[in-house]
Amino acid sequence: MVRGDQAVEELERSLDAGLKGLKINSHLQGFVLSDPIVHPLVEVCREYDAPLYAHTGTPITAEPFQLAELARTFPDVTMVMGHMGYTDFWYDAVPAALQSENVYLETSLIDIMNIQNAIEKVGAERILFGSDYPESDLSLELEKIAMIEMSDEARRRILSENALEV
Amino acid sequence: MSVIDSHAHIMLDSYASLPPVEPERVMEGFARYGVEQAWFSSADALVSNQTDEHRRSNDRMAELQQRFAPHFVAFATVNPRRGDEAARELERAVSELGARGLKIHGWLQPVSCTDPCLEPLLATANRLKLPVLFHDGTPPFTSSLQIGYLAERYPSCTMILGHGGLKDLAVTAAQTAHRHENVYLQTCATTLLSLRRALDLVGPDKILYGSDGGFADMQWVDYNIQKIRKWNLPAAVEEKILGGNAMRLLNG
Repeated sequence: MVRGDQAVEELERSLDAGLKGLKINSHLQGFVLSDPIVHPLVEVCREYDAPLYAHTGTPITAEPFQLAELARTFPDVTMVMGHMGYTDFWYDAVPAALQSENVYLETSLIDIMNIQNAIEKVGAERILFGSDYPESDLSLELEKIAMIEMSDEARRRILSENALEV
Repeated sequence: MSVIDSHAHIMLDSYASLPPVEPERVMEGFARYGVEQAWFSSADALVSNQTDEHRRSNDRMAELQQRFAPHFVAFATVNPRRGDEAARELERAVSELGARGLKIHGWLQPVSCTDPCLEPLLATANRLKLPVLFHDGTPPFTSSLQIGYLAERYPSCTMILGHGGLKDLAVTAAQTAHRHENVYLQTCATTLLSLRRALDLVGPDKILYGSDGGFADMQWVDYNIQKIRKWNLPAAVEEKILGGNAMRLLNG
């Protein structure tokens, strides 16, 4: 990430080879999620119409509002809020998503109550199923979604259709 | 197999944006998923800073413990920043009301686990040989290693890391439980991968099943039990984690 042009070239090479998006984990990679250091890579995502997935929930470098800030800077790039701010930034996940319509919320690890709240406040059309496998268990995360009452359409959207659209 | 949930909450009054939940509904929810006993603390009292409110809360928790015995075990709450006053309320909750433990939630209450104001409270818990359940995993007030520091100072007090380091401090939570004989880990909010690693380091005798349940979504209890089942543990180890360790800890 801190390698600037080299990172841009590698992302372009990867997307040319058929990869579908960019994953960043700012607290492991060592930068604040909204730092301009990431902008050249987001511009590549925009050029290729590729989504950006960001781990969130880890202060001080991977917080939901930092992703929202980045999303507002690049409103035409789809950004996925990994884990919805799990663990202690779940308070911020929905308010941050409401700041920028290009933010999607991803369900792994986060609890049922917060997913229900996101469906109600943000809408099922902006929620993506994720497992975080192998950190979590795929069947466990699927069963968690099954436990949540929602319409058949909302369930289809969360489990597959939204991801296919993204 | 008896399941003991060592990390549960009851909402006697509203807490932030969450409404209270009838105790009967909570108890039915735990029973529905096969939980024989749960250790409760009051979620709403954790955000109070008034000692008289803690007194009322502890009184009500004692009533519930009596009413739902042996399924309901009460953990006391106090304002940990109140030093001697907090220690006196803990002593009352234990000796007069029968509370079986203390809950401290550093970032809600809020107090750093290394703040000296905790000393009278923890000295009392230590003297009473009381388990203390900490929220852990959240810097800057409640990192697992901070609680390890307390465990060294109060060795007669069993200290429970309520979230096994949550996600990002799971490594340090396991290290803390490994280093200190009187530190236990709970499973709620820790990922399966982290739990597997913790088991390798800590062993099967100091890991306690907990759900952090009792709020509106009682299915969360089921989710957390299923998480333990999907660990695919040997039956004897699963039995310890789901209940055996907690039973030994509370009853000696």
